[in-house]
Amino acid sequence: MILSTHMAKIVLVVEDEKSMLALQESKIRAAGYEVITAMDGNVGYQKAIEEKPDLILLDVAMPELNGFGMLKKLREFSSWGKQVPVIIFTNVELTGDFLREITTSKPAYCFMKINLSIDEVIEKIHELIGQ
Amino acid sequence: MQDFTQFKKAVDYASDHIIITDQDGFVLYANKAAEETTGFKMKEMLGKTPSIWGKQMDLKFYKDFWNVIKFQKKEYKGRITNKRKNGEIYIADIYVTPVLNNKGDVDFFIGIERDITNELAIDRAKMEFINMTSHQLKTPITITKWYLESFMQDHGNSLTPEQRQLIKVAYHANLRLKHLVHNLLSVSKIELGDFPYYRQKTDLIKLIKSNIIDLEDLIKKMDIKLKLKSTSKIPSIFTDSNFLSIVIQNILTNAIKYNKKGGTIQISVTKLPKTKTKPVRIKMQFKDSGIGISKADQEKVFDKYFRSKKAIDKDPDGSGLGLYLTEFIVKKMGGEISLSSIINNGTTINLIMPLDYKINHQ
Repeated sequence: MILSTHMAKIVLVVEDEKSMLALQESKIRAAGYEVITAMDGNVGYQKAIEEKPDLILLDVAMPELNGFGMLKKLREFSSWGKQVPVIIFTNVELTGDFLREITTSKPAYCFMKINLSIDEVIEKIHELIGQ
Repeated sequence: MQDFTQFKKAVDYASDHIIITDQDGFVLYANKAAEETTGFKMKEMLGKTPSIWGKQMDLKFYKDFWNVIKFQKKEYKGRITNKRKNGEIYIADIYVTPVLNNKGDVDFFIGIERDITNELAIDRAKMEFINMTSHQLKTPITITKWYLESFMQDHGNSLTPEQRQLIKVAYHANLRLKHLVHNLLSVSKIELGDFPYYRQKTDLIKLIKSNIIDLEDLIKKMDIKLKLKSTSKIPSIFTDSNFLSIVIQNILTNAIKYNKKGGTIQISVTKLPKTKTKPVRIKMQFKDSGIGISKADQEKVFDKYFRSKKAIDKDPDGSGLGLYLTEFIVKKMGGEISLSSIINNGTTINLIMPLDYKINHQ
C-alpha cells in the first residue's frame, strides 16, 4: 500500500535510545504513518512546533530536556501544543502525584514501555489518531 | 573474688554498650562501649538517666517502654533512635531487663544497646544499588523484547520449527528477566521507604478477573481448572488497586505454577461480618490442589529469598521475592495474609482486606 505523504498522519517519536528509536520508526512507518524523530527533549520540542505532528510518542528519561520538561513546555508555550495527543512512554514507575499531573494535562496517555509490545504501541496510535 | 574481677572485665570490654541503672533509671554503671556509643564518660553518666543521650522518640514510646520494664517487669526488646554527646543521631537495637529482688520488686535494670547505624546505612546503600541497577536493566530488556517480537512477526513464517523454538526460548528467558527485575525493583523501592499508596475505589471481583485474564497463557499451559465464586454481594473497597493487583497476581501465579497439571484453583470472596474488635472486612480465599508446603517451610515462605526445596524442583528460576513482597504490601495496606497447606494436597491462602484504609494524610 502506498500512501501519498500529504495524506499520511505524522507521528513524532522522541527517544534517546538509538535501537529503540529505530524499531519504533520502522514499525510505525510500516503501519502507514509518516515518522519524524528526535533524540532529546529540546530537539523534540523544536520539531514538534515546526512540523505539528498529529501525535507525539515521548520517552521520559532523556538527556538535556526530559520528556516531562518537553511536555510542560509544549503545553505552556504553544496553543497548538495544548491539544496535541501525547503518549508518554516510560520505564519509570510513576507515583500518584506525577500521574495525576500528566493525566490532567490531557490529552496525554502514559504507558510502561516494558509492559507493551511494539504491536500494542501501533494499536494505541491507531486508537488515538486513526490511520 | 577472682571470678568477679574477670566477669567485670568481660563486661567492661564487651563490644555492646551495657549500662546498669537503679529502679528509677539512674545510671550506676556504664561499660567502655557505652562511653563510645553515647560519647559520654561514665562519670558524666553516673547519677543521670539515659535520657541524656535519648529523648529522640515520641512520648508514647517511652511510656510503653517504662510500662513494660517497670510495671509489667518484663524485658524490652526494640529499636530506638538516640543522640550522641556530639549531637550525632544513631539507631540502636536495645534490650533492657529488669532484675528483681526476692520480693519481686525491681532492684535494677540492665540495658544493652547495639549501634546499628552503619549496618542500616550499608543495607540502604545495597538497596539503592539494586534499585538503580534494576532500573537500568529495563531498557535493554525492553529492547530485546521488542526486537524478538518484531523478528517473529516479520520472519516467523519463514523459520523452521527448530529456529522458531530457539527464538521462543530466548523470548521466554527475556520475560523471566523482566519479571525478576520487576520484583527486585518493587522490593528495593519499598525497603527504601517508597510506598506510593494511592487509595481508590476497587471492585475486587473485577480485579481478580483481570488478573486471571493476564495469567491465561500459564493457566492453559498447566491445564488448570479455575473457579471463582462470591457468596453475597461484595462491596467495593478503598485501597491501592495497583498494589493489590500485585498481591493477587503473586498469589495466583504461585497457585498455578506450583499446581499439578490439570489441577484446580478455587477462589472465593466473602464479606466477613463485623465483630467486637474488627469492622466489616472482605476475605479472599485462594485454594489450590498443588504440591503443598511442608509444616517446617510454612513458617519461612514469607521470608525474603526463601524458596522451599519442592518449589525449586518445580521451578528453578523463581526469585523467592514474591511472597515476601506480597506480605509486605498486604500489611502496609491494613490487610492480613495467612497460609495453610498440606503437602502433596494443596495450599490455601487467605487474604483479608479492610473496606477502607488510609495512610497518613489521605
